[in-house]
This record gives sequence, structure tokens and C-alpha cells, in this order.
Amino acid sequence: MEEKLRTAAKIYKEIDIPKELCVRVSETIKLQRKNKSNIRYIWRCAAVTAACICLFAMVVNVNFAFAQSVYNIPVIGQIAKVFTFRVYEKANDTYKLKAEIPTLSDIPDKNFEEVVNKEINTKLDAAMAEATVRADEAKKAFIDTGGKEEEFIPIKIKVNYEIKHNLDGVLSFVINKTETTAAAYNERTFYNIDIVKGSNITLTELHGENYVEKINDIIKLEMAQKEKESPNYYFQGDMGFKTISANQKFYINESGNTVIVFEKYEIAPGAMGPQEFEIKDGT
Amino acid sequence: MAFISNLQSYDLLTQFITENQDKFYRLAYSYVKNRETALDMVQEALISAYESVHVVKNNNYIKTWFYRILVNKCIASYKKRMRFVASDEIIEQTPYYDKYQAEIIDLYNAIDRLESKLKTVIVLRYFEDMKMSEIAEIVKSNESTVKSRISVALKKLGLQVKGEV
Repeated sequence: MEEKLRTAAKIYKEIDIPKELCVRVSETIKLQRKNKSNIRYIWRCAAVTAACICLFAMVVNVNFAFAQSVYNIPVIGQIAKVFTFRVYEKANDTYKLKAEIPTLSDIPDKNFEEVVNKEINTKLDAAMAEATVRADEAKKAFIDTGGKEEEFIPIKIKVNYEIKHNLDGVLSFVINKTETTAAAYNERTFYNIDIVKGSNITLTELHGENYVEKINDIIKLEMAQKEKESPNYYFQGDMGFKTISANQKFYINESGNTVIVFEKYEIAPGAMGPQEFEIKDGT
Repeated sequence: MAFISNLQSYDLLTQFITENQDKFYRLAYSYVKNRETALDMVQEALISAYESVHVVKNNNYIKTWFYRILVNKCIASYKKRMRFVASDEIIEQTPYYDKYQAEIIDLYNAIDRLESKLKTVIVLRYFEDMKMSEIAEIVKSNESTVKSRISVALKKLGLQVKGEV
């Protein structure tokens, strides 16, 4: 039976391919490239996706009362401040870049402050350099595949930040980096810093030695409840949530609670967006 | 990490089309049996694909998603055509009589005459060597349905099903 079908497949594979096929296909592809509105539409989609996801977060910790008692100096001296250190703007035919780069100050441990600021700067400078290279590549690819240079829509690269929490010793903020090229190039990195100690806050400090099981249980419970309302909201089986990772992304919200963050596609389909789980005290 | 962008899907689609255009034509021809119509089918499928490429959420599905568009267009056109053309005429167009045994030509023609649901699974499975899972996605069905369609089709073609299809 297999043999007969295999021979019949030969007849199928002998169907002559007309020369026009290649021409028709490449003409159609070119037409799509030239169809500006189509490209715009795709760009717009990319931009919206980008805007939805991209956060690059930083969390810093300050404790007013504690700082006051320990250092016995005016409160104002104990609060870490986050402000825009520099605004960097650059626009040409290939990309439009706008970056608000934050910096920290007033952290008692100056060395630590410097390390953090340096890290922010190095990271963002590298990210912006990469983004501009990618923009050049995207433009080259656009032209190589038959696009006209004047029709290339400059890629937008944006870096900004948002303060999540600045109370009771926790200063928490988020740095967003977005690129309209691809959602994959959007980034968010979380820093959780204890200003007084001058160190990164760990989940162990916040939730104890067995924090992994504790947090996993809370997440699984919440996921189960969500699944009841909307089945298949999260990935199932192998793709699904198993455990929080060793370098799990999290930040500290307005109420001072830990918020576990999963990026888009990490535990749920892309359409559901990034997922967050608030770990409330006493749960 | 399965991060994707619409631009990536767009480029992947272009690459996929460029590499597989001959296959698309053969598949289209096997339904419509007419050179011009087959070319039109391929072109129409390309245009529809580009118009909706932004809805493809996972780039791994570009292949099956595109074939689904193409197969649907071909079946629609084939059905329209069948109203006007006698099936005997279709057989006349197969120019392979002297090269292959009559038995094989009969089998090939019999596959052509299968109803489109059954023909699609046979062509994709045995002529395009696709996996059951891929065929299931193309025809928007599950694997067991595809398997049963294949065995029904093989029976109709007078072929004995031995073990796994």
C-alpha cells in the first residue's frame, strides 16, 4: 500500500511548475512591501505590544523610622531619592531614541549608591547601543528586500521609569525600555534594595528560608481560582508554571507587599500579557 | 522564550513562501487541475496571508496556518469548478499514461476524485509527507479525526490499511 502511494506521489511531484510562479510570487511579495498602510499596520501592532509590556524595574528600600533611630540624623538625609539624571534624545531616519535615565542619591552607603548607579548606566547605555544597531539592521533588511529608503518608518526606542513605592524604607521604581522592532527587545529588570543596609533585598529576607514553597503555593492557589473563572488562562502541562526561579523577578508595591512578576509568554499565552501575583502578609 | 513580533512573523512568512512556492503550486494544481487557476490560488493565498499575518501568535504555526489558507481557497475554487466540469475531463488532463503502470495512474486519479475532505488528508500525508499533528492543524481538527479520515480514504481507494497509517 505504502509502495503504491509512494509511486503515486511521484506523479504528484512531476506536476510542472510554470515559470510564471516565481515571478507571480515575488511580485506579490513586493506589492506587500510597497503597501505602506499594511506595513504601518504591522508597525502599529508592534508598537502597541511594546507599550503593553515593557518595564525595566528597580526597587529600593528606605525605612524612615528605622533610619532615623539608627543614624539619628534628619529624616531627609535617610531617604533615597530617584530623579532623572539625564534625558537623552536622538532622532534620525533610522530611529528615534528618547531615554530618561534615573539615578539614586541620598543612600547612606555611598559605595553602594555608586555601584547601583553605575549598573543602571552601564546597562542602559549597552541596551541603547544594541537598540540602535538593531534599528540599523532593520532598516538595511527593509531596503534589501525591496523597501524604499524614504518609506522606512524610524524605530522608536524609549527608556523611562516609574516609581512603585517610596515609603517605610522601600523605594521602588521601574525602568521601562521599549523598542518598536520587537517585543522581545523590551526589558524589565528588578532591583530590590535595602537602603539602610546598602544591599539587595532577597525573597529569603522577606519570606523566610522556605519562601519557594510558600510563594509557589500562593501562586498555584491563585492560578487555580483564576482557571475556574476562565479555563486555560495559563499554559497547561509542560509549558505551565512549576516553580519560581532562583532569580525570580519581583518588586515591592505601594502596600509594601512582594509582587512576583512573570513576563509575557512565561506562564500564560501572550494575549494574557505579563502576570503578577501579590504575596499578601499572612497568606 | 517565545517572544515574537509581527515583523518577525512577516519576515518568516516571506521566507517560508519563497522556499516553498513550488509545493504550494503543486498542491493548488492537484485541486484545481488548471495552470492559471492554480497560479491564482497561490497568489490569493499569499495576499490573504500577508493581510492577516499579524494575528499569528506563535511563529511555529506559520506553516500550518498558511497551508490552511491555501487549502481552503483551493477547496472553495474546486467546489465551484466541479459544478461546471465533468469528472472525466479531469482524468483526461493527466499526461502520465505511458510512464506509470495503469494501476498507479488509476490510484492517482482515484485520489483526485475523492471528496475534498478525504483528498486533503491523503495529499498532505502521502504527497507532502506531513505529520498527523500538522494535518490536524491545517484542517482544524484533531489527530484522531485525521487518522480516521485517512483510513476511510484508503479503504475507498481500495488499499488495505496495515497497522499505523
